[in-house]
Amino acid sequence: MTDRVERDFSHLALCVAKNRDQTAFAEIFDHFAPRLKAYLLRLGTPHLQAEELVQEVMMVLWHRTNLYDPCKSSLSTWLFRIARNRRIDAVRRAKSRSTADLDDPMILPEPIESAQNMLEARDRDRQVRAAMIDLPREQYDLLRMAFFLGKSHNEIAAETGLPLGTVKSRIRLAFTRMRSNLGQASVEDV
Amino acid sequence: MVAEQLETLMARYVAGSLPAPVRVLIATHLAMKPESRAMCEALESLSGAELSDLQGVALEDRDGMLARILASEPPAAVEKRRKDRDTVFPAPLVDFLGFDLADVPWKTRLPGYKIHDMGIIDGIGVNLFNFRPDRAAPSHTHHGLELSLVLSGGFTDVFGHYLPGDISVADPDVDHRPQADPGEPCIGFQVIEGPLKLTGPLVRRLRDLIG
Repeated sequence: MTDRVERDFSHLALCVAKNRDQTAFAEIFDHFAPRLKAYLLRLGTPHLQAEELVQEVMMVLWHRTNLYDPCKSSLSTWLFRIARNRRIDAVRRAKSRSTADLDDPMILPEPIESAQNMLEARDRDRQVRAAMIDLPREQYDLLRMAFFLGKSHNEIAAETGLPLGTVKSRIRLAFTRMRSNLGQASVEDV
Repeated sequence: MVAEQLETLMARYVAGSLPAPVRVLIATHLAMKPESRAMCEALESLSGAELSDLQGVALEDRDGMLARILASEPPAAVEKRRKDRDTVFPAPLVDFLGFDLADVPWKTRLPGYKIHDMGIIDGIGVNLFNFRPDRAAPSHTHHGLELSLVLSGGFTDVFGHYLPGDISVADPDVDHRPQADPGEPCIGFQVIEGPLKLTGPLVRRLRDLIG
């Protein structure tokens, strides 16, 4: 997704936070709800539960938009964190049979930090994504299977048909690139 | 080697696919290590981008869901943020244990070596350990990967020196014989892939933390 689109969603989220703008919320909903459903299904969440989780994530957004800071992260990253935490919590709840608590620290991402960090955070978001664009596709695809789909080295090797050693070395190269990019970011900040 | 394994664990933490005790271990490590938090946040940022790039799957009843959300009651504001609390152990660990350092029910295993064994949780052996200064760990073998997070003090093994926030990754075939640093007790949180003989995809994943 382009930086421009991210900015538009951040703006819509601010409209929801400030004015309880239902039209703005519906626009965010129509973009992210089907994607959240696709994400949850891809992780093997049963269909019915995926729909329930999507509703819960979007409900957090509707009632807690004021906790979203567009300078701290993009809306997609914020929603990703909520969806991931909700999914983990749903498993936990299924075991303990307790009810959802939208303010549970497990569910909500960490609250907003001081204003001084804001610009830096958004720059980092953009910088990280830009830095990964020039990562060789063969490395990024395997890295993605780990951080987005949660696969282990063995599972990645089994699914791709690549030798385990190749999987490990490509992921190691991808992380080396990431580390050096993050390192550069902190040097430039000084 | 160890850094590589930790990074893969971090990636699986970001994805939310780790068993609960390992997730808590990584969350506690992140609370103690800003540089790891930066890596974690970078991976979350990439995940957000991936989420946006997915081809959406249509909802069963888009209008109905939207209406239910807009009509829902806001939850009562509950202030119980982690940051408000002042604990010795980092908050993610306290949340998991249900108590702080002062209330650990230590049991002495050997002179100078105490543990609090929490048994098997989510297929993973979990314990807190507490070594007297200079105490060497008893020789032991484990069937699966062993991750030890230092909470206070430090220890040394053949691979290196571990200080608060550091995680030691020990493969089953490694005899690492850790020894606590002098000066203060070495207290840590440890998870061990259990010697489970179960089969099936879920159990296989549990025993396959890194691969």
